[in-house]
Amino acid sequence: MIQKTNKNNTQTKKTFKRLTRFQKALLLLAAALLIFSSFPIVLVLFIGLLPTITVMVTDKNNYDKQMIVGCFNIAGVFFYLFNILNNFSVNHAVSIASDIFNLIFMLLSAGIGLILYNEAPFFYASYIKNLRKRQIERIDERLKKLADEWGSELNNKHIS
Amino acid sequence: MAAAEEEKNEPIENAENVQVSENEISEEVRDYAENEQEQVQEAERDFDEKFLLKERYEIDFSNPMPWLDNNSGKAYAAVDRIDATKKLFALVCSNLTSPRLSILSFLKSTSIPHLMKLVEYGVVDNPVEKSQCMALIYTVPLGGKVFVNGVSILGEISFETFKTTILGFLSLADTLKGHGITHRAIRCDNLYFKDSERTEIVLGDCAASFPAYHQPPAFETIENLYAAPEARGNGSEKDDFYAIGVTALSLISGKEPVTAASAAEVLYKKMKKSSFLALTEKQKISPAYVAVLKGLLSDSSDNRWGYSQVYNALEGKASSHPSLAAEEKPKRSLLIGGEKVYSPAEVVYALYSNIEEAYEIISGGKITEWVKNILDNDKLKTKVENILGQSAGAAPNKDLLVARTCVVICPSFPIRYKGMTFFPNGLPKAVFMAMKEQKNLSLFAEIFNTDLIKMWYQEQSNLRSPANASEFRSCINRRDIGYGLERVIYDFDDDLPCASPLLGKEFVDGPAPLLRAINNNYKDSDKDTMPYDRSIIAYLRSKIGKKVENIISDLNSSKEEIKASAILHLYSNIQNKHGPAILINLAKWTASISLPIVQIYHNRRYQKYLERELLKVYKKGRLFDIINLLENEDALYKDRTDYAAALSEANSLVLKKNKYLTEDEHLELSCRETAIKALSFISMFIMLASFAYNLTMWVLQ
Repeated sequence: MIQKTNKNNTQTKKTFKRLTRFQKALLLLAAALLIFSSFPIVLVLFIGLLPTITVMVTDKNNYDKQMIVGCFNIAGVFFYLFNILNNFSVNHAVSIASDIFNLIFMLLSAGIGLILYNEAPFFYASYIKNLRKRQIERIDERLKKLADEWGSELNNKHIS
Repeated sequence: MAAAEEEKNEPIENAENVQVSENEISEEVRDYAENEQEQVQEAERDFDEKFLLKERYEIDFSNPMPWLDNNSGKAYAAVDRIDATKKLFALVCSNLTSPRLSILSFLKSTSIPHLMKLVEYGVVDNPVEKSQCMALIYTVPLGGKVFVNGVSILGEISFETFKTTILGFLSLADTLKGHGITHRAIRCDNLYFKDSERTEIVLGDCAASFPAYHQPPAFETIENLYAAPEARGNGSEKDDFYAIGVTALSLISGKEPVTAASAAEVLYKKMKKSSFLALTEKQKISPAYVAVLKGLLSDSSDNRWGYSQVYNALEGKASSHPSLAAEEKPKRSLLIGGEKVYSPAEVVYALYSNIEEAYEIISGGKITEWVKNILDNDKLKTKVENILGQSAGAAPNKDLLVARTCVVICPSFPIRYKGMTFFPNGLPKAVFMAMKEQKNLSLFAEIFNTDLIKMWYQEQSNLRSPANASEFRSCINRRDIGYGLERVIYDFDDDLPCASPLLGKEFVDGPAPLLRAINNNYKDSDKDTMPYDRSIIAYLRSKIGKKVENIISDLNSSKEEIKASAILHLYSNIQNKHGPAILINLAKWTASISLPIVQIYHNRRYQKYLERELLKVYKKGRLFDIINLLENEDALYKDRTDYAAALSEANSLVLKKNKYLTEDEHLELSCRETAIKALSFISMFIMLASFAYNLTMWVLQ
């Protein structure tokens, strides 16, 4: 999977290199225009998605983690993203990004994702283990009852 | 229908709360047995030492009549409850030597002159020996015994009395012969005066013990004397004639002949001098009696006189019977054991007495030469040569070769094999006695495993071998229960009671008394063993016949439950058919050995229920009830069906458990993967939900 992704990246780079200088300049210009025209969004996104970006940087190959943290993070950021659409200005974007409660909310949503990613499998495994243990106990109990009624050779017969 | 099903299920339901330990069971059983025993003893004490035979004859064990003791039996006064004027006594037989069961019914049914009348017989409790014994009820001879301490109280007997008595005895022997019976207890101390006037002499009991077992050496022929007393067999009327001859001599001389001499001395004398000369040594015999005595005491059974010859002689008529002529002996002798021997009987006696030398003489061909040259008997020579030929290839068994040769040389002689001298029809009684005395029986098994018995019968002109003689060897060689030496003796000899140690001192003459004896001896028996042994099963097979063959094959099974079931069925069948109706101790014993049958049932609760029920059922003393309880087909079917279902359930449970245990090793990894997948979906869902919520809110604003 990782190899495949690397391959894709390499292909993208190669495709980008094949472009003419004009095409490259045009592409960069379009990107710059896009960033410039949607700067408030980009700002909120950049600030809000910092945890996800950090995970993408630090844990490049853990897509599950990126996915879970990212989804939770984006879910939190959406609240402010639509807020910007009502008042689409850099000032507003800066005021959102500089409000500590907003930051905490956005980061917290990513934090929930991270906590769930780290702890949920452990809790789930414990639960399943307990469930199995209880099932085995119930089986043993029933086997004991059968042995009491029919003799212990009943179980031995199966084992033999 | 539903009610019936409920009833079937009820025991299992009731059994749930039953917890009976083995100790509790055994304690209860012991208490019950002790109470039972005490009751029996009290009942015995109440009877004031008087015991009933056939509900009619009272035997007073406190009133012994020692002068009538005979043939190992002890005499006690007896009273007929119907006719108390009859003078009776009971001869209570010893259980060591069994009475002659096969002749009792005949003796009871007939009244023969000169024979003490047997009025009744039957098994009775013997408080003296604390056992059950055969008791024979006889009329008391009112005139007392003829010989007291070996001396005749008649003094010099008159010719008429002598004639009447001897002819009466000979007539008696002939009558018995007509029914295939011999007396074999004709001797001085068995002569009584029938009436108080002492006009008629009668012979006493002949059935209380083995035939000829108590005969003094003087009263037995050379051949019989050589055999072991217990192995003399029934003999023939000629043996009775001989004993009558010795009795006649005693009556004439007024005393019992050669009372102090040992059997070996008497035998040697008789052989060397002839019986007549050996017994009349230093005695003056009236010429009127010489011919009769010579005729009766002839050592050749063919020449021995019978009734007609004696009658003629006593009537003064001429007799041409050959016994009066001197018996010719071969003139040339054979040297065996440093002694010259002439007649076949002497040769056989000498050969048996010197086995090592006899083997050399026989295998060296000297006997063949003697038979050819001295006896001039080609047929006999061929037989001896055949015997030598048969033994040539095999490993040398000196005793066997000597015995086989002796059987053909002198067929009237008993067989001697490895120190045991016997007539084949007396051998079962010898085995019986050895069993009673707990001696080693391997020699007897070896004897039955040879062809000596078959050969001996083939050489007899007037005797036929038993119909099942051909089965003896196969029986002996089978180690299965119900076969072996025990089976052979019971098949061979109808007189024998069962000689199992499990029966204690009880006299057992049939299947019903056998059950009663086992029941009575329960206290002294080892309760951990089965209530039967080889002897009992062989006896029952012999008496009941092929009907029990299937049960015997079950008894030889290696499975304890099959054995227990088989013996339960066998005894139950006997109890149903012959009685006794109640056998509490035996029921208790069979119940205790029935645990393997209980374990056929798989259901533990039902097993406990059966154990508890057994404790109740055995107290009724009916073995069939135990079978009904333990071998209930409906219960067995239900148990098997339920067990199959339980087994199937247990199998699936164990499989499931094993699956869980195997999965446990990878559980953490798989749980993590599942949790991550689930979280991915949840996070995506939350993201979409957030998007949808915010979009909706934005649109609405």
